[in-house]
Amino acid sequence: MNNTFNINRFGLLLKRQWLDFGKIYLISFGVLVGVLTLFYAINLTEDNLKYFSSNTLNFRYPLFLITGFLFVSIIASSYFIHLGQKPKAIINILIPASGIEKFLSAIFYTLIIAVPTYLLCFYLIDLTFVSSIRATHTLTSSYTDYQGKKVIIDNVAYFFSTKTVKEFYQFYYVPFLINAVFLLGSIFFQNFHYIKTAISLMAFVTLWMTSIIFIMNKLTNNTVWIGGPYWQDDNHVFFVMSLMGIFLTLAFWLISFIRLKEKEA
Amino acid sequence: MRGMMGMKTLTHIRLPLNFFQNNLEIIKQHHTLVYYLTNTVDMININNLNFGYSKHKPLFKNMSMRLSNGHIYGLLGKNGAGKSTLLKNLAGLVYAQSGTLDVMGFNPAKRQPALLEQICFIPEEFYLPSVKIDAYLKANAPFYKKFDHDYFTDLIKEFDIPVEQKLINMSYGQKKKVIIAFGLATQAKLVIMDEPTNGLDIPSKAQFRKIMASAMTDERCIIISTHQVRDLDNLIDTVIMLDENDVALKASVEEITAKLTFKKVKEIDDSIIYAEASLSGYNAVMPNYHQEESKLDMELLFNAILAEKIKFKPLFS
Amino acid sequence: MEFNNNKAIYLQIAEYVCEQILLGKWKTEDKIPSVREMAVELEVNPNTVMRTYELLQGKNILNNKRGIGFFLADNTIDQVKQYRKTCFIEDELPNLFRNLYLLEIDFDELKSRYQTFVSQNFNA
Repeated sequence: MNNTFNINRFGLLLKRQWLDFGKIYLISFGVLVGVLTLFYAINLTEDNLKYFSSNTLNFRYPLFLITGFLFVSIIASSYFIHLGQKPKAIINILIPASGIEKFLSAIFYTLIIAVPTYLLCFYLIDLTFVSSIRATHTLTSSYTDYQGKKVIIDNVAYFFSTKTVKEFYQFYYVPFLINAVFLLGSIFFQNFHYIKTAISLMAFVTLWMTSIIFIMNKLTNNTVWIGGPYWQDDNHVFFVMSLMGIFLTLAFWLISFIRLKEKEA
Repeated sequence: MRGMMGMKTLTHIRLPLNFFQNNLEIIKQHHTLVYYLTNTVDMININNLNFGYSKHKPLFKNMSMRLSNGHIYGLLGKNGAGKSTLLKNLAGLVYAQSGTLDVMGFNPAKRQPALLEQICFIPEEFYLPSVKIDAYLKANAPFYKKFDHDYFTDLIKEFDIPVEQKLINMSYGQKKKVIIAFGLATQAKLVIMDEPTNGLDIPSKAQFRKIMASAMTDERCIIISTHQVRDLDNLIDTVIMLDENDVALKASVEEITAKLTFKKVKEIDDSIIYAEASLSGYNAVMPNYHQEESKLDMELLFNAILAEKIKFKPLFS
Repeated sequence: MEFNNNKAIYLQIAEYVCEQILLGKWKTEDKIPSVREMAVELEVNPNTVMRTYELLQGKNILNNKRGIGFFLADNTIDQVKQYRKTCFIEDELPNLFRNLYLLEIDFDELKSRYQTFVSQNFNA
């Protein structure tokens, strides 16, 4: 018997875990749909639509980021919720599946299923509301830029086809990182995983940012930049950040996996 | 003529024996588990185990013990002596600080599926999801290749469990019976039960004893921890008692009653190791000088060992 | 079955088996309940029943036919009586004697009481 990974056993495990996790997942999903619909409804009242401008739909950016963060983090931190309670932990540890299978099943539900569901859900709700607006409003406006060129903009663009969203690709690693951080938190802490993870994350980010600002200040105070323009290009900075994000994600996953294997009950 | 006969018998026996041995070698190499099942060897081997939930408070100090198949072991000990902890060590739920633990050729701490599917662990406190028995079975049984669905159905019937009810709405005793039925139906070779009769009503305890009597096979090693000794004393064939960070006693009922006599006496004399006052005199434990065949009184033995540990040491070494 | 606390369980089971034989509930040439069946019925460890059966096999009360199970031996009733007699003489008679002595009951009284008992209970 293969004690590391067996595809049949992994399939059985996914089916079995749905019994435990399915309910939490479906409830979170229901809340997500409700919250998104609510925010669209609040922001797209008749009044707002009467004086519609290209800014009317700007609420979608913070909405997408905040609900996205909450959904991905809540799902990730609830998958291993049972490990905090001994009776449940015992049953889960004793399921005849390997550590890697149990970990991958967590990744499967909290990432491979959760993130696409979120995107799809956002897409569909956006599609519903925006297409109804598109049916009744002027879609484009135009202006002449400083070079004398006429620029046409789509005022009622679907969320995923806005220019801003297309620049998000620099941050594609973020949901993965959130997933990794909250998975680790839920394994690491015995109880109140979510709140403890969130606080640790905030503390960590604050500490990190202040120390970076402090160090950079010390290093660059009273100095003049004499290097090339390379680091003045945002894209290059973002690229380095992505690399760090990916590295951190992998590291957190690895630590989660090890902690999971060593979890006692 | 005789010689001829002898040779004939010899060759006749030799062939299948060789055949078996050769095959056993192959089986041994490929499957540690099968090897362990075809031989009556130690199923569990604990060697110099050191364990503690914190560094300063050790629970087990250099504990060593061997357990084999074909037995029902009764694990006794005071509250906090580490009964549950020992069971958890065997199932790989907690990790020892040092020492080795061998369960059917595996290290339980690695939590390998091949071992996990041979372990039936009934914890004292457990959790069952809010589904019906059918759904629970569908999700969990496929992990155990030898799961016996008919046997499970029989056990559920024997235990009188309502099949249509959701597991979460069942009483503690009913839930316990469900997990016992499930655990036994997995056909696991190592059956570990932590206080299994807790929460069972009187008829259920009798059903439980019947079920355990039939579940005890030559391939199985059954370990039951209990402080309600009277519920199980006729089921247990070997007593393991934990005290003061170690195994205070591990002996079969046969061995204990060969060495000790348990009987009612009117007066206490020097030969008595330990006695408790009772209605008509004393219940006493004494060395078995006259090869008497007394019934082991586990509760009395338990108290006797706690009180007079030193006197028992030379008897069981 | 209710076990008492005076005697090892395997001996009490042996008595139970003897009782079944003497009462004619188990017949010669019939296969008797297997070790497992007996263990389940009495709610005891199968190893204990095995010990009983081995004991009774040694007393020529039971026969073990390998791979089939346990059967009653041919002259099993005589053997049972023999075995029970030994048990009685060893276990119960000393107690009886002790009481006879302490209560000063003489043999004549004992004899007449014995005869009354037999005629009342067994119509002999």
